[in-house]
Amino acid sequence: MTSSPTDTKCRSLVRFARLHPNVLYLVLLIGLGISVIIALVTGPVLVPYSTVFRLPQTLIGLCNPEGTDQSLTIMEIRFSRVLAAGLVGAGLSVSGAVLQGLFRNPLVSSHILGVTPGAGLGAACAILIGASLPIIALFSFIGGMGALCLTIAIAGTRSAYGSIMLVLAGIICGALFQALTALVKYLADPGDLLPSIVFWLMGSFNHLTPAILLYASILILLPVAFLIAIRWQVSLLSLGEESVQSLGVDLRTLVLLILISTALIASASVAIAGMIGWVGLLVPNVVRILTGPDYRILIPACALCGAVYLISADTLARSLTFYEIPIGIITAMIGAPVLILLMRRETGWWQ
Amino acid sequence: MRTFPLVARDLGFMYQERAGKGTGHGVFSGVSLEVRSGEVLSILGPNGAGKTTLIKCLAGLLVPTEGEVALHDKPLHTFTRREISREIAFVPQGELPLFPYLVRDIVEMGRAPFLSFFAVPAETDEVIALQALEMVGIRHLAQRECTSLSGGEWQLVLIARALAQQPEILLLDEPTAHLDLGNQMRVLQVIHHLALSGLAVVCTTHAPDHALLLDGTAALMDKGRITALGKPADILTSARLRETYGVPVEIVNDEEGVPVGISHPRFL
Repeated sequence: MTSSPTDTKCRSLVRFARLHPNVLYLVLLIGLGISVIIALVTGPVLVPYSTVFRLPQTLIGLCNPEGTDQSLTIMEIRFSRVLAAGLVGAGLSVSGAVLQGLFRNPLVSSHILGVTPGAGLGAACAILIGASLPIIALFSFIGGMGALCLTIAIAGTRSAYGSIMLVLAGIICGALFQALTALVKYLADPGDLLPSIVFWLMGSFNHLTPAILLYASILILLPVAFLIAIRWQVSLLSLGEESVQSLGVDLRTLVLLILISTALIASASVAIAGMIGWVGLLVPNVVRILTGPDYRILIPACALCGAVYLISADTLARSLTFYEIPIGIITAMIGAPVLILLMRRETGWWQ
Repeated sequence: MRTFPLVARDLGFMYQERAGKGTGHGVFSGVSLEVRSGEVLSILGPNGAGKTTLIKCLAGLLVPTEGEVALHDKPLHTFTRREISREIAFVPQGELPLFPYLVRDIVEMGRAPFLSFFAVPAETDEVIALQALEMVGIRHLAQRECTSLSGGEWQLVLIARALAQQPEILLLDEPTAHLDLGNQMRVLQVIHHLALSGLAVVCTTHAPDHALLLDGTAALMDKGRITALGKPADILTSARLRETYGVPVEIVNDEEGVPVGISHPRFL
């Protein structure tokens, strides 16, 4: 394989990231800050930049402004969106990266275990019975975790590790849940329920409540923190099964912990924002070009980049047109061409 | 005084029968071996003789269905996987690099038996990894991406990773498979050198001349049994190789009558 000038440039970037990960994290943190500020001041209602600096005080309750400050209220609403988008972006990216290592396949994301379709089905059922937002979130979370249990049960406990069985079981479950979701849509009243279900499945940060945001944050942050903590163990999974076992790793426990963590993230993400595809697939593959394959750097970098990516995508979704575009459409429209670019660059990818 | 850190007694392995598919399929049985510190035990035999299954049983990756493996005179199954991995290092066959990790990162993974679940390798682990690379003579490859290595270099990286486990016993499953002649000899040289430094080494191979080169002890396997066990020069006779492999090969001796290789008559 010949190496083009861009390849060499990427190589030296990878080497730099490997030697100075803290510099990389700092750059990404600055990027995160910028994307948050842009997200806060962008939208149909113009608010002055200075409000951004008054926001932190309000949030921790230092000063309690009179209820008349409209721009501050708008910014608080936007901030909860930014928080949700950041969490979901970080979570989906980290779980995508980890699952790609576990299954030794760069095209895997939490979709493959049937978790996302399961969570979607849960949400659709809840909307069908006319449930309120917290119940919809709860149903979709239960749907996602139930899908994981079903996938593991079909695959059997013997084949715990990255095996074909698990992928096949996940695909089967996913197909089943998608069919059931289609059935729910068919049964739904085309007047009002059907559009709600369809919009939910397209993904949006439009239906947040403080309680949902709080619980979902915990359910995303804890597994993300856990996966960051075990990042070197995840690195070990890139070796073959026999090597991992001969290095004394309790493979079944590790795999189970990873599956549960990623399913928690995916279910909680669907619960607050509906189905947002392409994040877990795209972000890790782009970040891998910057950081190389080492999970010690890749996982934290994925968390930061994923947050930046989804916050920016949500800003676009809110501001591109007069009506908000579902964010799932935005991520797919960005994801597909970028993945094609990646494919053309990395010639050995699909061979 | 030489010791036997790893001993197999009447070992047998049978793949569990599947429901409704008749009786189980035996791979090998009645295998007794002693692995000696400071020497290489070569396990020889034709395809399907059970070599790989045997070495996986010795590594604790498969549980034998008969007999037992003893590590330091205690049954292997009484050790946890982590405890085993501090004593026994295993280099599997045909493992390929998936992501372009740096060579030093791959070798550092050999430190896993000594690190806690939430830890990342520290500086001491890095030093041990570099020493392991030094021992197999590829220190200069430390910063290379493992996907850019040749087959021989990658095999040496895997051996270095095993050495980073600081094991007492090194098990290698066909370390010379798919390598060209030069790389085969380089890998064998490293294995020989490691045995001289005090490791107990077990290695499976297809090539009887490799067993002759490595000296030590050889075990000849055929149809799931050990048919001969002893010094390679003593047990690898023309008659025995003919019987085992079913081809009319001859052992070639050097001027002093020491067997050094094999030859096959010209095809007509």
